[in-house]
Amino acid sequence: MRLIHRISAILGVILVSACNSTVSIASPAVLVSDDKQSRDILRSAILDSVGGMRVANIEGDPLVTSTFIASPYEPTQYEMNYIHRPVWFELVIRDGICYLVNKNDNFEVELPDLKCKIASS
Amino acid sequence: MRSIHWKNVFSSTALGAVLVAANLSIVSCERGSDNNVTPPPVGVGPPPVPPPAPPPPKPVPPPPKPLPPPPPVTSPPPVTTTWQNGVFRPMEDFENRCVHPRTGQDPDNGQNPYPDKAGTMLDEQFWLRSWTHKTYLWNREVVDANPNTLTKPKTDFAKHETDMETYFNTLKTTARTTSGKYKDEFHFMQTTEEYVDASRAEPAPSYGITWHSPKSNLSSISNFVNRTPRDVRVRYVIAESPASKLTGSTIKRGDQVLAIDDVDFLRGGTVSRSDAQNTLITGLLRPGIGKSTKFLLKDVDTGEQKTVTVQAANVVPKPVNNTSIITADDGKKVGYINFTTFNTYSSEKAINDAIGEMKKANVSDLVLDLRYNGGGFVYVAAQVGYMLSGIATPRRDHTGPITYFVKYRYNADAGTTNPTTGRTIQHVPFVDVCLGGSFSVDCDEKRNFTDNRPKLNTLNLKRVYILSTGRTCSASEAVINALRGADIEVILIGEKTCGKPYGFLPTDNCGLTYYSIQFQIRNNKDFGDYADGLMPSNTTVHKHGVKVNGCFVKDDFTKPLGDKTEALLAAALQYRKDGTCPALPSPPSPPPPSPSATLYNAERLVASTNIQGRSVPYLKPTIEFPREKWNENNLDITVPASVQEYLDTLAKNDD
Repeated sequence: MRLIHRISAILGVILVSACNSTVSIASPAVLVSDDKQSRDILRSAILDSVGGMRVANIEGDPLVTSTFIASPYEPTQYEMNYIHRPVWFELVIRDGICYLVNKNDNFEVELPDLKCKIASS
Repeated sequence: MRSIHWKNVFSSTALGAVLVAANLSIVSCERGSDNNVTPPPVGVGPPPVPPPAPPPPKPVPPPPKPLPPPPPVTSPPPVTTTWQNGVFRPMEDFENRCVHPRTGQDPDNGQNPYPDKAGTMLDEQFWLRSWTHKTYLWNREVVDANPNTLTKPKTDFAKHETDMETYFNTLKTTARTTSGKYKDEFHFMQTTEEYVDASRAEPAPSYGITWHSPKSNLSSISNFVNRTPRDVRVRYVIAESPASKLTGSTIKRGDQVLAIDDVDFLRGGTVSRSDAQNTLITGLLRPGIGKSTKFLLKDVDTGEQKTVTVQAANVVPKPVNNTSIITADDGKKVGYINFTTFNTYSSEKAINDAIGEMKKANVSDLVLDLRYNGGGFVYVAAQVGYMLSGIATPRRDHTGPITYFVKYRYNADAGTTNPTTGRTIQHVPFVDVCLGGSFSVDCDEKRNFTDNRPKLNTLNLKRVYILSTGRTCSASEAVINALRGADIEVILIGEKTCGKPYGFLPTDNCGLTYYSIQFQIRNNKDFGDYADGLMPSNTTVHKHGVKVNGCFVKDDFTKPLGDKTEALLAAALQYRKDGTCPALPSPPSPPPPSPSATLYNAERLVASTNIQGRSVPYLKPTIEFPREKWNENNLDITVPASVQEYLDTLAKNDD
């Protein structure tokens, strides 16, 4: 009986904490360290997240700020209805996992192998 | 193409694994999460709550194995390339299977290895076929041709490109518009190397003069060589360029070129590869940096000859070339902005500054001169829409209807999905904030990495005067159409626009980049059928096109742009004053028989001939402006694509 009571209590705690996790909030994040692997992961995620846009430049220091801008090349003479535009990204952390958020359309990509931390305000 | 897992940022999919492991019902949790379906956007909500305790450490991975050597280009398992009419395998089945697979790192994709694998001609053709079926706007109008009947692969890449072009050219509609021109005049391909080079190109040395040719001498190399006497005039001088800084004799809009470095420009240089021809072509269009060139010009005002020497330099584009503020007869101020391009980052700041200047001067009306604006960034066009009208963009956390600047329409099979990206179609609202690009200094300086981006200037106008010619194209036409779709009155003054409510996403496969029309742009009222152009309502010259209130006026090279006596601007001021237009010109004489065919054949003739002793396989069509329109509107461009390609060919051969 004691055992059942304990198990019920534990399950109750788990349930409460699990429900709480659904309201977890993403916080702006920066990279933990300036290593090649981290930057490669981030760069690769950005290149994958721009919907076919050829990226000319990525601005912003992911060690300092959580936000970067990926800019497309300027259009060539043939691309006169040019649909690309600078894409704003934010690196966020939620439940200990880093996510790259495309702020133009609010889509995100999970980056489980990236190490990041909450950005200091 | 790498796959990636997408999900909405605020979805509640991140329930802890503990929850699942405990096999607990998550129904109650989901109810809880329903209350949080619209949390504030990241960065603008309440202060962040510290994250929960970090997850338990992951199991220690096994020690890394030594990296294997880079894989050689291998042949993947073959896929079926049996053609069946109307049956299309996914394009991914054939993607990156190449006759000439590229090796090494792709500078255009973060130095990742090229994705190419060894493949066959049929793989490339079947990819093209499936890609067209999936993404082409008029995919149901394409006659499904069997690639198996076509040629075998060539070891020479240029010949392979030609073969692929032969097949690519079958993958488009042959329907025509009301005027009889082909609906799709924009089908095009080039090597990916050429495309990448073009998009990364630095500004070429220039005098800062844009040229105009009533006889279309600049529309093709053949016209330049053969149509004598040549007629090339100054369209305008770019502000702050070498040509604008001359002392003594100056260069003015409308001045006519008579000689370049003492070579007769009107009739000289007809002998291929002669020094005289080279002097004229390079002197006019391709000066090296620092090169000084002596021009003999006929002054537009006096008719007298004058000699000017200009030294070429790298010229920074000036999206807003000049502005003026005119006091109208009723004492009110009318603003004028000559906006020449949407295709540089600097265009965002330039037009915002110009609108700010107009706002400061308290203008009651604005004349926006788009007569030489061929388009570019749609997002800058959407900003211009706001700057003129004041129609604001709802924020993401606002409710209520959105007034769209542009709605994209893809092919009927795509539904609400953009077939080129696989993501939901994102229409473009009127944009009221600075979006920023690498080179948009003002926006970059002020940005604060939040949603509170700097607001743009606006004039809150209900009526806008727009000046146009056949060079008013693409994103420029989108401004006209979008304003009309938002119930802002547009008065169109000038000539018919080019008629390009379409666009594409250039797409690479196996080192070739294909341009196939993929979307139509429409306004907030879902109108976008102006493939025959937008034209002033009183025109009798143009038979086909969408009429817009306004006045037909031929472009006027006798007066500077921004001068209130210049014909288009004067007509706008007249219309503003009393709603009338200048008298129409007398009807044009009948055109010579089949001008477009003549031009086309002329190009092909030259293409099949030795040009200056060099073999040029063919001159690719200039796609941005329909061939007919090159004649109809006497168009040219500063460095015509066909001439540019010809010169590039020479340069490559010289290398």
